[in-house]
Amino acid sequence: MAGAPTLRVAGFLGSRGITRANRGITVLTVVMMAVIYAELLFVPSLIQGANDRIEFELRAYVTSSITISPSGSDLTIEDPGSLLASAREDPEDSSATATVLAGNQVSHANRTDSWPVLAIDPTSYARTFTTPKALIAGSFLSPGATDQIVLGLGIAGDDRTQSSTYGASLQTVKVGDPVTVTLLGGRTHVFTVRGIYKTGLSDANDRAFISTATADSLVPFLKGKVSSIYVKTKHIGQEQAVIDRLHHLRPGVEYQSWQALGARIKDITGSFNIIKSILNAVSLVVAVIVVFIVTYVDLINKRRTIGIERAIGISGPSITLSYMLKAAVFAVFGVALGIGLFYGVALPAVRHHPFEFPIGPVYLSVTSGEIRSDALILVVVAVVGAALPAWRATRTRLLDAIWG
Amino acid sequence: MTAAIEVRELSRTYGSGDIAVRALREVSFEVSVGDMVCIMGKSGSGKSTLLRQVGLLDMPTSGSVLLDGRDVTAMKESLRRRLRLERLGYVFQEFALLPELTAEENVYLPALMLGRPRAECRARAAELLGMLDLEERARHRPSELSGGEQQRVAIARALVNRPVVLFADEPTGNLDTASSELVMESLARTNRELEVTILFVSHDPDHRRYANKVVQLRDGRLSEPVG
Repeated sequence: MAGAPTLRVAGFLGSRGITRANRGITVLTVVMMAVIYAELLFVPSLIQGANDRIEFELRAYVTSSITISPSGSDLTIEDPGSLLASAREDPEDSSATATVLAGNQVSHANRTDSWPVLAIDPTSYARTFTTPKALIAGSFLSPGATDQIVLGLGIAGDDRTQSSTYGASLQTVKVGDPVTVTLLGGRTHVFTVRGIYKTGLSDANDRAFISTATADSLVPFLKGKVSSIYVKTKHIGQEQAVIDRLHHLRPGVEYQSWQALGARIKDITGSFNIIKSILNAVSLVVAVIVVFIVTYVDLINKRRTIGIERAIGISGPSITLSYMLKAAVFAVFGVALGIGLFYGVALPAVRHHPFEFPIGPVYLSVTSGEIRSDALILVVVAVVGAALPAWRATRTRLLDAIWG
Repeated sequence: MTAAIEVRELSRTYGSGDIAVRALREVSFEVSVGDMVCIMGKSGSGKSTLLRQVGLLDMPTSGSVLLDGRDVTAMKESLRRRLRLERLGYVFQEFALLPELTAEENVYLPALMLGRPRAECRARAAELLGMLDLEERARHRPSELSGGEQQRVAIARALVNRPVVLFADEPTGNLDTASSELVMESLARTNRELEVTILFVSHDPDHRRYANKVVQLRDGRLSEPVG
């Protein structure tokens, strides 16, 4: 263990080295640390932003927070009203809605294909899902709307035939056009397209919506039944508590959180997380090398100084510790400046001009835990990067060190 | 008088085989407490090599060095460093001050390493800088001092831990005549007033007058008896 004089001299040399070093080199070193740190934060936070976007799209358009579906061979949930009422009772649950599969085929002109046509209560649906805000043309269903339908872009096509994404759609359907829906039971009915929506998830764009009022009149045997119930909790993380409460009130149906339902999404986010880990590791290796090189070059220039220090009796640990202290302080200032750059420049810039991914706009997303761990990593890397060459410099032949 | 330093059959060879250079060959002499010894000789005669071996900056190939009767030749580097810190002082040809420290800080750094309180270190530095007429330059950095001033700061630093022996390797090698005189006078005064044993290397015959003993080297050997 280093003695008190060793630490004292290390602090003395380190502090003088920091305050009286060449200002230009000091500033450049700190800026370099800041850029490394900001880079360490930036790419992973972009990938995390993409992950967050995917999860948001999933909750906003497909699963909400909790999906309640029939269990076993049942296709519908009977008496959904009591379950919906129970779900809405909890002040933590901001909303709940139900859908029922009313049709499974949509046709226009000479094109036809199978897509789910869901009957919804437009009011509660708009509280539970964000689909009404994703319209690219027309408007969403009103509660009393009859003979009107809202189509996902994956069904309508909206004349975007140049995109392969919409190649399997009806291709040319626009707001106001008539489409024919084949309802459960085989009956067909012509609806007028009231709106077309587009989300970041292609699966979510392959659905059509009609109002429950219309479905009740056209497919009366579905009245009082639903295919799924969706509950939106106020905050992420409350899902299991709500599931436990509802399960106690109504067993015999299947409750799943959005995390459990997003298995396919998990593959995507899992891949992103692997990329994020790889980029993090690469950034870290680059940081280690850069910090090491900078410290090493600095120490080569200081070799004679170290030789003189050793010649007059300053201990090796004092010298090594002084460089470690210097590196740690530079790294801390670099981290502080890096946080400033990230929060002051990168985050606002991306907030105003988000990255446009196929899944939608992506913002930077970083947790305080990542900020802390990356900061700690950079400081440790800087200290180790300084310690190794400094330690080596104190081990070289004294005369070689003195004569530089 | 007690022998402060005994040098016995000291040799130093650099490299090996065909390219071996025998810089020092079986040199023996004694230095008494309070002596001021001038090591002289032509360039390449082994003056600095001898000073480095005796001053524990390098390890001789053979032979031994005794400080106060104790063989210090084969000591571990940590013990040699401790001896350099506590009992020896150095003045190098090039003004070997630490550029990021002021004159005062350069002087008291070795005292800090000994664990002395900062106030005591500063007082000692002020005393030495005053003795060497540098009190006005205490807060200046080395780059703000002349060559002669830097070398006198180096002398003050070498004296801060009250060494028994001070080594000076061509202390005036990079100085003009006036500054050289000042530095040599400072060394002589240190020897006289503080009774510090001094070994200095010089190629200037005029510097013999500061010494009471001369070690004359030629091709790594003593060319005449020490005296």
